Amino acid sequence: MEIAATSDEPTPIPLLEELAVAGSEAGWERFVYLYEPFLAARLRRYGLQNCDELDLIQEVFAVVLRKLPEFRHNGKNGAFRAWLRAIVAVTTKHAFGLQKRRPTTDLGEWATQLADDGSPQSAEWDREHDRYVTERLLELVRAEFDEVDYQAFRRTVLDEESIPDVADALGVTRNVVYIARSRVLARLRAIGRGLMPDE
Amino acid sequence: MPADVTRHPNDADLLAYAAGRLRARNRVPIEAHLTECDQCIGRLDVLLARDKPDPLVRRIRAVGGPKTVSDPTPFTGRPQAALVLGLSGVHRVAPPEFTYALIPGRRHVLAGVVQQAREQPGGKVVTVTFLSPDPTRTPAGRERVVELLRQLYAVEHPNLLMPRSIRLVGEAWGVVSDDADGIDFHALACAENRPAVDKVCDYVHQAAAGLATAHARGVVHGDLKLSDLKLFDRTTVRVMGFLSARLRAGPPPSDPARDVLALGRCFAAMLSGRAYGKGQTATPYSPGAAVKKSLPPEVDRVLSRLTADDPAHRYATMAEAAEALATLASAGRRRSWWSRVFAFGR
Repeated sequence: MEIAATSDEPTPIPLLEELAVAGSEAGWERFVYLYEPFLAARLRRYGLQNCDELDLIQEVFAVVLRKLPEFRHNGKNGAFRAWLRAIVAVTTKHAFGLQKRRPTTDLGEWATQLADDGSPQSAEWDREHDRYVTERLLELVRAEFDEVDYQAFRRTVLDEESIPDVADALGVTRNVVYIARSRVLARLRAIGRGLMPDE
Repeated sequence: MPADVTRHPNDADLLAYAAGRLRARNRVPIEAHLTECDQCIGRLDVLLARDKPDPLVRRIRAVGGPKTVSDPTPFTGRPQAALVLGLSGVHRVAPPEFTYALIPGRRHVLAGVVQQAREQPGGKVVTVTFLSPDPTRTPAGRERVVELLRQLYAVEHPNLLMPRSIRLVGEAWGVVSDDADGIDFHALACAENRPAVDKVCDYVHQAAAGLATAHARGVVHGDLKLSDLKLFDRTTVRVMGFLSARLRAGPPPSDPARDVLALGRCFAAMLSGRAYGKGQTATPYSPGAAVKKSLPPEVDRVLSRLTADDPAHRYATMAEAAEALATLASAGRRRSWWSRVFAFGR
């Protein structure tokens, strides 16, 4: 099929690009939304106080914002999560070193291990990163679509229900279900490009 | 331009479309075609049944689903005697003999991990939150949680989501509440098509009404943020996170003005789409003149009083704030009605 370029719809900018090039405030909000709980969960395991945890997350995000224009995605799966892991490792050590306070031994050890690509902590980081970011992206697209579109997507993709069953349940045609599913998936790809593996 | 239903997309294009892999310029014509072509819909049925799922779909399924209840994982543990004794007589909804079957599919939130479960008997879906770090590791911690739950059980309002019980699930204690699978306000604020001003006023008014009731019972949230506000069925807002806020933030603050300011900041975030200034996560965003100028004057007035730096200029109580927000919410509803009539007339 020859497809004509008839759409006026702008091509969505991936989040990383939006954050690095366009300097968008909205991009920053989405980035914080995606990554804050992930980092908080990692740091909380090492007994950081609430305020120390917030300060460290703030510092990591500030470094990400500063360094992101220099980040070049090499096209390999997980390039961004590895880059972020390195930033977290350096920032954690640096923050506690600068304050002349010793981090808890476990936290210091964790930061050291994070810098090593082959360590079990790095493998766990990668696994958890993918899970958290996918979960948060799902929440984000849920907020952007109406209930019928989101349910069409959720029930056919997550719950693996058949298209005719979902169409019946939602009181719409199969066409509507396919279109809604495709739109939500397209949006997920648009925001998550470069963040999720297999992209 | 009507879709050309005689020119069917090929199989590769159809599959790419179904997986959301096409750019807008290629996606839109296929979408228009599929709206009218049942033949291609039938073809898609066949293709999706035959081919392996797209990698993105596989990843999403691995993380988030399926959330079916056909094979629930039963709770392996029973409530510990000491904790049940501590709670006896204060179980508002779920007495100790209730059991829960976890539904697959966990979500990670700031407070820990959230999972849905089915309550037996009755079959009601509830939410179990496994707090991280687990506050019930020690007997003293458990006592503290029980005491907090006692305070929270006394508060009931349709715009509040309070814990119902706390149970041992496997080796971890989970806080059981009504189903909390709503849309997070932080996600709503980040959304490209975030709610219109009149909707936001209505949502924030609902939250204020719930909080005013909590304050009247002596319960202050103390750590209110966007992720503690959730939208259910696209209409009802419920405030949650009272227990985790207390556990994280220490002893309950006696000053409800803290909640007034926090709600004002959530209001500002919903109106502006910004919870923080760029490069910030610790300091809440303060809307500048440009944002405020774009708001109706009556909304700006209420927002300014909610977020005033000087407590003397802020609403003294949440009830007062709820009253001011109620006028915005009802004005919004009136505006919507008139705007519909106006649009129809045109």
